[in-house]
Amino acid sequence: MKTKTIYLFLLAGILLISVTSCDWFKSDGGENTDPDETIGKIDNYWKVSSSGYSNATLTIVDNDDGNVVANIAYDGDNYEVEGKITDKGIYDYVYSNGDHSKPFTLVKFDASVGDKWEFKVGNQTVVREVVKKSETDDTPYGFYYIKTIDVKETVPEGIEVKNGESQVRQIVWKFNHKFGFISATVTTVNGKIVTVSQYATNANE
Amino acid sequence: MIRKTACLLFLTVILCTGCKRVLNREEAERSLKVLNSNLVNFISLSSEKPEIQGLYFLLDEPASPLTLTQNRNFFKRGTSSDSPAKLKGIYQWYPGKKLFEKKDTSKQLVLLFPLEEKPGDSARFVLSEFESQDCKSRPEFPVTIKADMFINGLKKLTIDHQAEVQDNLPLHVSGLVAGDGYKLIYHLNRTRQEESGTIDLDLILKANGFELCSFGANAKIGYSRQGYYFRYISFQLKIFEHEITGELDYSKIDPTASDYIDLFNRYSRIGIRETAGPEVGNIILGETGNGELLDYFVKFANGDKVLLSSYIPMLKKILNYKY
Repeated sequence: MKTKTIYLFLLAGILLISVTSCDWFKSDGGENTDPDETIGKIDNYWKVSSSGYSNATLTIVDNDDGNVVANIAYDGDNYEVEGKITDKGIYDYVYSNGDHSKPFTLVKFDASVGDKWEFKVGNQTVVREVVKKSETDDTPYGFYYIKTIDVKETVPEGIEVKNGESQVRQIVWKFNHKFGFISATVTTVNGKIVTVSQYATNANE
Repeated sequence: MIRKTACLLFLTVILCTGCKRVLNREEAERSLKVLNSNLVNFISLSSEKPEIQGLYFLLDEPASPLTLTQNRNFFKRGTSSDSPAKLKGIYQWYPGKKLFEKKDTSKQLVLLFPLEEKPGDSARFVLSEFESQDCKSRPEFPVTIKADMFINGLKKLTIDHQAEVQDNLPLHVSGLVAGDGYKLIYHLNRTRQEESGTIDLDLILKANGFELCSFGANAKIGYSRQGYYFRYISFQLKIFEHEITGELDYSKIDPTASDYIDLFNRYSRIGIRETAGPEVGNIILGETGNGELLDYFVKFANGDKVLLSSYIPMLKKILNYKY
C-alpha cells in the first residue's frame, strides 16, 4: 500500500513536471510563436517577381509573439501587411482589417487536402481550401524541386478589403514549410491572371 | 349584471382596438411591400432629375476626370493627381469619341456635356475648389469640394463638402448637397484614445420641408496598422414610413467560427418597424442554397423566416457593407 502510494505520487510529479515544462502552455494552443522557431524571424525576407510588374520584397520588420508586421517594397513605395506566423502555420488579418482577435488561416503545414478555412463577413464567405499537398518533391524551385501545400482562396464579389472592394476573385497560393511563400496565382475580377513567384528568401537559414 | 356586461364589453373593445405592437405575417408583408415601393419610387424620381443624371455620368464614365476608379487618387492616374491645378480648364465631352477635350483655360475645372437621357439638355459642372489628402481608404479622401451643376444654364445642384484628415483617416466631415427643393446634410466625427475610438455618423435628406430619410450610426472601433475595425455598432435608419434599428456586437462574432450564424444572430439585433408604430419583423442571418450560402431573412412574429431580398433587395446591399 505504502509503495503504491509513493508510486502514485511519483507518477503525479512526473506528469506535473512534463506538463508544465512542455510547450503545451505556450500561447496559441500548442503552436510555437517564438520567432527563432518559425519563418517569422525579424529580417526574414522573400523577393518576388511577376511578368509585367516590378519585383517586390517582403521583409519581416516586427514580431510580437507571432504577430508579424511585414514591409513590402514595391515600385518605389512601401506597404505594410500584418499577419501571424507560428511553427504550424501562417495567418493574416487582411479581412479583419487588423483585428488581431480574428486571424484567418492562410496555411497550416500539417493540413490535408480538403481542409477548409472560412472567413465570414455578413452573408459573404471567403474560403481557403487545401487543394494539393505534395507527397514528393514536385514543384520547381530554383535549381531543385520541393514539396508544396497549395491553398485556393475564393473571394466573393463585393467583399471589401482595406476599405475598398476587392479586385481579386481567386488566389492559388503555394507554400513550403521551410521556405514559406513560394508563389501565388491571382485571378482578378476582370479575369486577368497574374502569377507572383518567390525567387529568393533567407527564411530557411 | 348589466354593469358586469358593460365592463366586459368595454374591456373587449379596448383590447381589440388598442395599439398593435407586432404585425402578423400578412400585415408585415404588406408593410414591407409598401417600404419597397417607397424606395423604388424614390430612386426612380431621383434618377429622373437631370442634375443627378449628370453627376452619375461624371462619376461613372471611365473617361471622366472625376471618375471614382480603383486608383487611390480622386483624379484619374495619368492626369496628375499630384497637381490638380493642371486639370483646371474647360472641357467638352464628345460622345462619339468618348472623351473630354480641353477647349479653353480656366481657374476652375469646368465640364460640359449633354445628358445621355435627354441629349437636348446641356449640363455644365463647375468644380471651383477641390483638395484631397492621402488616406488609408481609396481613393484619396476629399477635404474640400465646392461645386455646382447647371442644366441648360440654370443652377440645379450645389455641393459643399469639408473634411479634416488625421492619422490618414477622416476625423471630421460635414457636407451639404442641395438641389431644387431638396437637400442632403451629413456629418461624421471620429475620436481616438490610443488603440480605441468611436465613429459617429448622421445624415438627413429633406425635400420641400419634409424629412424623407435620416440615418444615424454610432460605432466603437479599434485601430490597427490597416486603419480601423468595428467592435460595436448601433444604427437607426428612418425612411419614409419605416424605421430600421440595429445593434451589432462584432467583438463577440468570430468570422471563422463554425457556428458563425448562431453567433451573428445572438449578438446582433436588427428590427424593422413602422414609424412610431408596430413591429414588422427582425432581420437575421440564415442558410440558403441547400446550406451552402448565407443570406439575410426577415423573421416574422409567428417565427416564419423569408428571404429579405424577396421584399427589399436594396436593404440587402446596405447590410452587406463590410467593416
